[in-house]
Amino acid sequence: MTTLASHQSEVRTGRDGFGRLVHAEWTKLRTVRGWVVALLLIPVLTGLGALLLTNVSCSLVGVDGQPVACVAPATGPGGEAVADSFYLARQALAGDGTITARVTSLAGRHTPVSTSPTPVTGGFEPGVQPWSKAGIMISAGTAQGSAYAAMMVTGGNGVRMQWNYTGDSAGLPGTVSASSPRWLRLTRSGDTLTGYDSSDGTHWNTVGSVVLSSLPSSAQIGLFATSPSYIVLAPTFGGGQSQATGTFDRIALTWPGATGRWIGTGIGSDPAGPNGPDPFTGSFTHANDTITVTGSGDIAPEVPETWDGVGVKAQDALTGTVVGLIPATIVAALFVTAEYRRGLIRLTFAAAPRRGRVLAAKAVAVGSATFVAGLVGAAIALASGIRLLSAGSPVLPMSTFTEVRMVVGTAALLAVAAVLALALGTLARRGVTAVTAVIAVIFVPLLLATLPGLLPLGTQEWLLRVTPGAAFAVIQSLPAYHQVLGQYQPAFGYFPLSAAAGFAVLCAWTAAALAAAGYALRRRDV
Amino acid sequence: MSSVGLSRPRAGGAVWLALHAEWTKFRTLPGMFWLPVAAAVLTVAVGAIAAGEYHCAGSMCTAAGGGGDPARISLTGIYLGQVLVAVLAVLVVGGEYGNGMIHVTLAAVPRRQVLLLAKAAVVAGLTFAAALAGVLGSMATGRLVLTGRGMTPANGYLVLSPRYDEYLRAGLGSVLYLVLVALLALGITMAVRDSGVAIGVVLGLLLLFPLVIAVMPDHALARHLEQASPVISGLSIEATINESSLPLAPWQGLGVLALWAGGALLLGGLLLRRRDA
Amino acid sequence: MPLILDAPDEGTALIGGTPHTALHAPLTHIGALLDAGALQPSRSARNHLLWLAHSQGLPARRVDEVVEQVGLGSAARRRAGGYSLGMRQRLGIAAALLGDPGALMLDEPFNGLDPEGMAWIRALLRTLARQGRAVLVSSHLMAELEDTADHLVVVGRGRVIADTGVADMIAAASGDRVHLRTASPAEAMTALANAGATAVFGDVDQLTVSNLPAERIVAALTRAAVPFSEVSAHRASLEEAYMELTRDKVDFRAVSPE
Repeated sequence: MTTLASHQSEVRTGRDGFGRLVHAEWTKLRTVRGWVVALLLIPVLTGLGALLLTNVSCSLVGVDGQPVACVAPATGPGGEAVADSFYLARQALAGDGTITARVTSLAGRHTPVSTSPTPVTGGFEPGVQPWSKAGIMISAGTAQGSAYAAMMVTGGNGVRMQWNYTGDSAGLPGTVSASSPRWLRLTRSGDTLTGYDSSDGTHWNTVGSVVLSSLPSSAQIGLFATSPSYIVLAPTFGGGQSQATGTFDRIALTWPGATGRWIGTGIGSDPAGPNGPDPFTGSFTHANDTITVTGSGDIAPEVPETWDGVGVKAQDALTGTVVGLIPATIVAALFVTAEYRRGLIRLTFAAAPRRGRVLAAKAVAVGSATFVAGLVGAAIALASGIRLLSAGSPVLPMSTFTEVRMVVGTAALLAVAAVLALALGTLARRGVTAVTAVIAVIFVPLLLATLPGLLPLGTQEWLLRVTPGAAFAVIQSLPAYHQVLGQYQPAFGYFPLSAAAGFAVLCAWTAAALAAAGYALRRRDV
Repeated sequence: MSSVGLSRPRAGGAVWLALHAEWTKFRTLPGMFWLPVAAAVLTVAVGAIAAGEYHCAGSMCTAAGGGGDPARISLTGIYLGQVLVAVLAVLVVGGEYGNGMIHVTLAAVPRRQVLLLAKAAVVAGLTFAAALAGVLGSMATGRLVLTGRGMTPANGYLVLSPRYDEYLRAGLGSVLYLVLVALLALGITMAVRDSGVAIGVVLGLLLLFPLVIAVMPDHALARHLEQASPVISGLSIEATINESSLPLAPWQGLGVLALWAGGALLLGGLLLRRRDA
Repeated sequence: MPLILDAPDEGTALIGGTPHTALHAPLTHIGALLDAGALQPSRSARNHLLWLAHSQGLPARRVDEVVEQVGLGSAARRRAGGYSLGMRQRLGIAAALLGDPGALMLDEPFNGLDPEGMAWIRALLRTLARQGRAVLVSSHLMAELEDTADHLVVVGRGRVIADTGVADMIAAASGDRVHLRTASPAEAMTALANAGATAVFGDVDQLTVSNLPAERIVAALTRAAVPFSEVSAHRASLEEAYMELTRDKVDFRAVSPE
């Protein structure tokens, strides 16, 4: 055979390794005009979703049935919007001390089920709500959104210690009655508040202990009652308001300045609501060492998906994410199938024989491009969306961390879904098969899971636990609070998994598809 | 004439010949046959799962009290079936653009509207057959399963049967729905000339509206989008209870889809005539 | 196959002693023209070469060099989908040359080229070989190979049929036959038979003579006073040699028209 060692290449190659493969794939991606257009469509479509929000409005119905302008809900110590309305029999007491009381009854009534936003003034029916509350409280003040900790009995969730609207810790189970009373105790020691409960006043259990850093020396010590609105889903969506009355005795205060005189204060009574005003008012009576407190409302986070919920969620601004996902995934799938269609893949593998690295380089190139495009789109969508929404309705506030998580999460969702599409494209090799697979794996389950009423709720939530669409949990701006009964459904933007867990489901799909694609690349001829 | 001259073409118009050619192309392409079969089978399977998943309790089981729609539940599989039907239509056209065979086809059938007509007829015929099988199977399965789940005359439901006008309309309408989806996909593929892009556009158009509407906070706008959506309006043909809550009346809704399909065919046909292959 | 695009049933393929997959920048070792149509139609030729250069860590300057070398010039910035077959062929060759490799594998490089392009590539292949590179060309255009190739490997039905130099192969196929043109073929046959040669009739005035060198044929005819107008040593074309070699060994054969 001919020997051919004589030729010496004069061309010098630059840096070695994976980086130049990524560079090559990025050059491929940016030099096809259709793909560049599609990549630019990602931020445009993601951002355009915010424009759909210009018509969102909020109006409340007043006592006379006339519309009343919306007022933004108060915010709690954690910065979240809160529903804070109840009735409080209180004393202002300075320094450390303990309040103890026995609850012998929790009763209530509610408006009949209403299906339209009109004021309801009569026809009340008896009964407590699962989260009707009556108990003792140490609070920073009487303004809505004040820091507090409270021990309470509830209509259906036993004894609870709750603090600062979102904190909740379970105590003794069961309902309260004269034959089965509940003893509640709350102790202040500096900024530390500790709650206890007991069924006999002798044996006490600690329910929880919290530090309220913003608690002034002179705090409001009191007895409270409140009861939230309710919703029914069938036969048609409806709901109403409710009221609860708690009966207290064996009340003991250890503060030095404590007296037997209580001041009654209604906190945050609503003159109007989205479905009409709350017809119930608060009051208290004090006789023979027994105090009854009657109140209506809730001391909890504000949840728009309740009968009297106000405001919109910032995640509505990211409605366009699912639209932006379409060009992102289709470009990613076609990015690899286009090479198969013309046999270009043979040249690619001749240039870079280690096929797994080519796949990885493609994933990095298309993933980075969609991530950046998504980041721009999501940042614009969220910023402009919140502004547009605020013009019509209060936007429930959220932490900076949540905002960053939503924007970065949206970008990551688009990027990882694009890599999933790339892997499916590598497996399918034909463009039409790849795009169909992408749509069948990502979009069809998402559609089945979010279209209201298409499938039973349990099935919809199951789909959002196991399909790639689970990652849409990254755009959820408000958590679902178990202590507020709302319509926590996918159709209303509540996902069954947390942002991290939902994103992990998508990552697992992508990892599995990439592994299968890498295996297929090694096994088959080009 | 020489002795080896071709035998004379068989009698029949250009459309008939083109149709015959398109049918031969379809049936001689390996794998294509399975698409309509899969469309029918998966439609029935998903419908059976949805019917099996249906549960209700107490007053919610009645037709007037928020219970499900037997026709809609039985026909849930249409959501998946339409994807396969769209793929079928896309491949019948897009496959030829992918490998350049469209040049041969246009050399053989130079009148492009005839070609479009022939392709549309083959796609529509195949889809009709698959849809008919899928819908009949779905509704038969639904009748078997749902009667055991409280969808009985006692709860205000009519038994699923073509004897009743609503069910006949839902069934026939669903078959027409799938045929229209196929024609929509055909028109779009003619317009974009690439299978991958075409299926993306078609399924994007079909699925995007419901996905956006589902999370849309603006309800007035959402209602308009529902009326414009080929899927939501089109599938209102399936509704047999609570028809007053539909965005459009059943036949009007199917009309919206027909407008989309007609528009797509018109666009595809015009572009086919105007530009080079 | 050496590029492991198709997995071998058995054995290994090495490039300069190294498996292809172990090469850091494979195109600087072996350049390949696989299929000139293997490109993204909407990408320009220059960008096509640019990504390829990036994958090998080559500078963009190298792209401009090969674009000039293959004569694509200003067309390199147009979308490659609009190229003629010949231009695509030049682009494919540019891709093979990009890494300035010691070995080149060119599959049907003459396809679609105009006569000028044919001459250009023949010269290019010779130049590349003179520079000390191994140039592997696979082609069915025997006439082109005959002029350019040194060494020949004939493969039929997946097996090596011949592995030899072009000159040797032609010589083997030519045999020692001599063409003779004469107005008196019968006399010539007698004279040659007497001299120990075998002669067969060809056309009207032609004989093919074997077993006797040309000089002795001339001598024998002169001695017998047989008139003749031409004596020439038969030189088979590469195509004839190939046909000779692969009879019964090729995959497909057209039915000869009767």
